[in-house]
Amino acid sequence: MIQGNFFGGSDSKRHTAELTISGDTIIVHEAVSQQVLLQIESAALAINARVGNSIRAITFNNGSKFETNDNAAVDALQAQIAPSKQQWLYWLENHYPMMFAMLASIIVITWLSIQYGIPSSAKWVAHQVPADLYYDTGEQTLKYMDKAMLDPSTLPIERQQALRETFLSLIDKKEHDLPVRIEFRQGNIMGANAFALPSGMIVFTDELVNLACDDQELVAIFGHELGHIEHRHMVRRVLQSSIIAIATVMLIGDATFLGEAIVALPTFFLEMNYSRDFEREADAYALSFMQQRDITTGFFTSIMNRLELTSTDDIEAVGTEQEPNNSEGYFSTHPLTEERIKQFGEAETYCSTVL
Amino acid sequence: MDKVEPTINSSENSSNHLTPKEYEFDFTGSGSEYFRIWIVNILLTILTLGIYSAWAKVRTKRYFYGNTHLAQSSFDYLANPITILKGRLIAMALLIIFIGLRSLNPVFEAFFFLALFLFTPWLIVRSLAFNALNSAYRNIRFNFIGRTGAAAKEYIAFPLLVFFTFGLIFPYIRYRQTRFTVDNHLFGDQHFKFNATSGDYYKLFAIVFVAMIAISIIGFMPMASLGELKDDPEAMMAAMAVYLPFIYIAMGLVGVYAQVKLLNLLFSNVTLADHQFESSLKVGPMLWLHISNLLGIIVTLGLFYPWAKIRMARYRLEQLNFIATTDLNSFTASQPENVSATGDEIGEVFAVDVGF
Repeated sequence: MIQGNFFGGSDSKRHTAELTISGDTIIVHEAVSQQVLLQIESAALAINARVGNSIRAITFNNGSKFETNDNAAVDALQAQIAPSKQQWLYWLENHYPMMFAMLASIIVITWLSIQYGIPSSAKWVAHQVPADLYYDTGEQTLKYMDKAMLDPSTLPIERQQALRETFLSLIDKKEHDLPVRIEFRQGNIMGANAFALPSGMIVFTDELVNLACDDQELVAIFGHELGHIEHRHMVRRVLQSSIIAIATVMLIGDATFLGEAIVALPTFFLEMNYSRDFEREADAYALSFMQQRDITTGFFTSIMNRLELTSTDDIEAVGTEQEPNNSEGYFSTHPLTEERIKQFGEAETYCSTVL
Repeated sequence: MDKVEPTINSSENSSNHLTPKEYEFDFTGSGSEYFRIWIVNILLTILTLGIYSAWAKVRTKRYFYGNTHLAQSSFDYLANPITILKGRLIAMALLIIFIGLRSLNPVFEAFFFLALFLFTPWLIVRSLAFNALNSAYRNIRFNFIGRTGAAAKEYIAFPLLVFFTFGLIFPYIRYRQTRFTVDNHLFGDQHFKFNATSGDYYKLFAIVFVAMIAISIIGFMPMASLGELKDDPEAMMAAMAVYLPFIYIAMGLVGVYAQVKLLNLLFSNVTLADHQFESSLKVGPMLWLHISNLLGIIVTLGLFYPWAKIRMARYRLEQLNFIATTDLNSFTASQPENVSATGDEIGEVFAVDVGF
């Protein structure tokens, strides 16, 4: 016998009731008057899966419902007439050793996904996308940036053309499946900067060109940006952010303030970390690019140092980020300068340029 | 049902129109129990690459509803996980299309948010209807009968007026939206009704507005003199370290005040037939809840989240009363219709706030 409440379904009247089973028949009767409220065959009922110790409902196919907090009795009834497929969930939820195992699994799976799963799947997808699609994408992005913040370059056409030729003479076009092109723009709020678009377009700001005291420094930057293009970093970044966004919605599942506040900070650090990995990859590309062409790698250090000195805003760029002290390295998108110096060697050129 | 405090005696069955009875909402969920449900939900969601999240949502809702008691009965969440999964898949497909289009051309982002803005009324109506129809108390379902056209008036037409009225119309819009939400809800065949006035909203928003102005003045006035410290970055940092937390804390306090007063204003002005709700949340306890929940979550790296949710639900429900002029036995059901979960899930993915 299970004690609980019975509701007919057509109105909200609460009957204090008792549910009994005899053979294949379920009988619900009023607790006090013993009046029979429902007599129905056991095949005509559905028992809700157990969720903790919350109130359990048994619904009958005539629309009526029996509610009880006697979960143990309902479990017994369920085992007798209609074994549930969801009972294992309750079992999982109520075994403490399982809790630790599950918590550990969640941490391990999350760590593996962040460390390997998300980056490598984004990388795979990014390299599957046909080069044509990248081409269109990049053109639109540059148009958009031109409208939003960039102005046409004020560098003399000859200077632009000379730099373009210097850069392009260093690469074999056949080795790149994206058409590598060079553009110059006045950076305005972007300041001294260079960026690569998914289409194979590399944009230098006038400010950056003027900051360099040797064109080889700009070649170093070109190598770094070429690394971003070859490794498809821009698209991988978009894919990784999307995967993280979808995953957090799936897991947290509520768009409340608390829910958002909890995921915002870890997501931020995670994306910073990914970004830094990309910078490292681009640096490695630049390093081998320069070494293969017998260019002194110290030029890279020179321009990076100067960028660091001149940058005032923390605009995300090749290396314009300020790194006031080494302890902030973990939160920075760009590898530490010291790390870069170790890789590329001491600065090759020292000069003071007025912007 | 012995867990539930019998707040009323056995005379519940005899209708007496003269003496209103006060029924207390009661919440019996526990943090440690919900923690275990939460962990299983997360693990299975990860292992199934998100598919299980629909079942996880139903289990979570059922846990909270099933532990919410009123007059010796509890609430029930009836949604079918498959329906939620379909909604989530559609929402997810839209999100992927959006990401794809945005990377092709950034202009799509603006178009997309414009489209989302125009779809908001539909999303709100579908989301509220799905939730209401799948919520039941005493085997009687809730319902939401608001129409998309009417919602468009409240969520698009009126909000556009904000630009022409220097924001002065904002409290009135909030009032109208709440009234739209409440008045279109039904329990069985009985309508909920919202009895607050726009004046109540203006009073509340005026207090909040004045408080924010005052904080800005008190907080930022000394900041202006910080200009003199320009040459001394360390002194400037020290001064900022004093003022910024002050501004954050004060603004947080105003935020909690607004939340508490808005919730009280909402629930204390809702009637169902002759029955009345009453919410008596206080700013102090709510502030403590927010601060302790946030600290708990930070210290435990997120593991405190289930307790935080339970504590908030408990406090909000324990401060909620239902004052009935008759017993609660005489509500009758109406014929419900089926509503897909698409609106609800799209809203969840793109964080459309329905604010009820």
